[in-house]
Amino acid sequence: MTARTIKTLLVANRGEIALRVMRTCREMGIRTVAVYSDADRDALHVRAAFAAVNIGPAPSAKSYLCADKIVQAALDTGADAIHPGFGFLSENAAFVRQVREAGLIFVGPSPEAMEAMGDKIEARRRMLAADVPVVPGTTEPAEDDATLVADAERIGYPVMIKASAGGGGKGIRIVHTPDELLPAAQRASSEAATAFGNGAVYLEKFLLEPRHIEVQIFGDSHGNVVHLGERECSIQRRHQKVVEERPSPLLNAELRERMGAMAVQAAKAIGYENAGTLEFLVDAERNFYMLEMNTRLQVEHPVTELTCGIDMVRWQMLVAQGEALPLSQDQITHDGHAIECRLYAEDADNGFLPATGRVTRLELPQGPGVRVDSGLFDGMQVGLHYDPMLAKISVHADDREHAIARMIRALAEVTITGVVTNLPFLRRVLESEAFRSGRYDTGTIESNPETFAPKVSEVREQQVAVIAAVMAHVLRRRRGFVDRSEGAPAGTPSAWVDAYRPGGSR
Amino acid sequence: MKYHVLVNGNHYEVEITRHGGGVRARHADHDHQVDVATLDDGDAYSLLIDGRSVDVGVEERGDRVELLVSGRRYSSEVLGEREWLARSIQAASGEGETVVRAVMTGIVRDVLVAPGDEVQPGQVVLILEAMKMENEVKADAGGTVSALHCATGDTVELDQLLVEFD
Repeated sequence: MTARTIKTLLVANRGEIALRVMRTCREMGIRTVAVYSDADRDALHVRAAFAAVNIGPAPSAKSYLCADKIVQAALDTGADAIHPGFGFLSENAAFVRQVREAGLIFVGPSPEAMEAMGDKIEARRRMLAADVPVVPGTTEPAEDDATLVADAERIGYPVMIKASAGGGGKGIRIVHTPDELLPAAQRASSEAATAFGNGAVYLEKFLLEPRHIEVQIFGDSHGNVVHLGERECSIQRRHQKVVEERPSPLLNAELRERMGAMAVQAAKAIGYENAGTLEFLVDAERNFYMLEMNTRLQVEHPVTELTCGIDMVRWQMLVAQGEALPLSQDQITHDGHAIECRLYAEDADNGFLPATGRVTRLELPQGPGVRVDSGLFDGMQVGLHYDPMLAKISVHADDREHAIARMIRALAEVTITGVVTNLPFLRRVLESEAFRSGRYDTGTIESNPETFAPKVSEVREQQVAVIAAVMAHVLRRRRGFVDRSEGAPAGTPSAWVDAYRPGGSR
Repeated sequence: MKYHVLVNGNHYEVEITRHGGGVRARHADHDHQVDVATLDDGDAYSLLIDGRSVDVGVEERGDRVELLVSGRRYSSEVLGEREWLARSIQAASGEGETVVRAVMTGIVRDVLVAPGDEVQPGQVVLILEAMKMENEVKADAGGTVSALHCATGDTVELDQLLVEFD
């Protein structure tokens, strides 16, 4: 690839990650172009960009997922490159081809590398061929019932049935006994056929309570591949990551080195360029197996940036311009401990239902060792069209204990009213014995519901009752007063209640 | 003025009187002095309860008062004396409407029942989607579906009436 300098970059994303990318661009003297849907006209990423282009209505299928509109917006604004962020079109090989055919640089891997890792059966074959351990299972789509039964027997129950084209938890079934196998395989296959247009399923051993540890890698067009260490992502709920940290409390230097080397080997095997992440499952005996590769920047990249001091978006841009990686493996060092918490618009005290609303008051943490990546602003409408992740709060400190204390302090500084968030749940996780001890796995949250459930004391409930009565009284009186002034019928409260108008007379 | 407050199904009586620049709330023989300041023209307030500072977000829907206290959401119902009495009489006579309301603001992805259908308690009656997550909405009580107030593709608000039973 010949070196080309990026002068103007279109960010094909929204929210905190669009802002994150634009910050680095500004530091590098690169102009930025935002795209936005009708719901995001007032969003921070639009205001932070040099220019912005409307790409359609609020539903992402009509805006942020429209490759044609995004490529056209880049051409119209004179952009020479597109950064996809994560989610949306970031792992869509057809989009990458379209970007390249339009003569633009795609800041990310080649479509071939994406495809190699996108199909799960294909990825398992490629990794086995490169001597990278994968979770025990099959490497062919299930041909017939008899083969399926025999394979499940050989792997040993419990097994997981997975869709080859799968993602987002669709097309996955866990089977504990042989008689459940065939019906489950049928449902998984039909679900996959509907969701992905490909009903191929395969089997994987279901590891009991593994840890989810991933390794960040970076490749360039000169054949260099390095790793930037691991991220521990085992604190999950319904396969959704909630808290990440680096270093992992589980790994020792030897295991860390082996996993890093294995991730580099896997990336080299497919000629990977730009930022990528190898996800591994680690069992109780510290055996590790590659699960899948994410061919993009990850949500949780700040914990890596905080400990190794590398601006990963800057590296992405340099590699996309055809330059060599700025550092070799032995020049990359890590320092201290970093933790990230994901702030979701979810009612953690009410079944984790998605929450919508308008942000009426917002305060985010500041001070030593705190980093905030947020798309939030006062008056922001949190709608139902996009991902519920609103912001990421990350901390960096000398050691793990200090980092935990710092995160608890940072979470205490957050105030958001108008939209419900998982903030109280994050506090409960950080304060839990499981997290503090570092002995947790991907099943910890769901198998200990009482530990992470809200605790409402009787005293607290009484306080809430008092507050509810006070607020209802104040608001109803205030309305009564306003109504009367607008010519409401007689019998409404007298004007003296104006004294109750919150803030009104003081 | 006396209020009956329901939180998590528990009943509290709170008497509110004007006092000083704010209000006095009396509950279970304890008086609390509460000062209320509006933080902006929206739904956020700073309360000083016996001098302790508490930030509160409030959303009112009829008798329902949704509170956001220190980042946590609490649902309550605040009734006056007359409404409370009416409610008690209704409960005693066993009349209570059997309905399904929206558990969140979202888009109706699928309606699984039709008028005339027999529904068992706990049966899933529709699928509601928000932020890429699908949620099953169940009927608490069973019965015959008498009216549907939503269709696939509708956007519905929190607490909106969706299905009625006989």
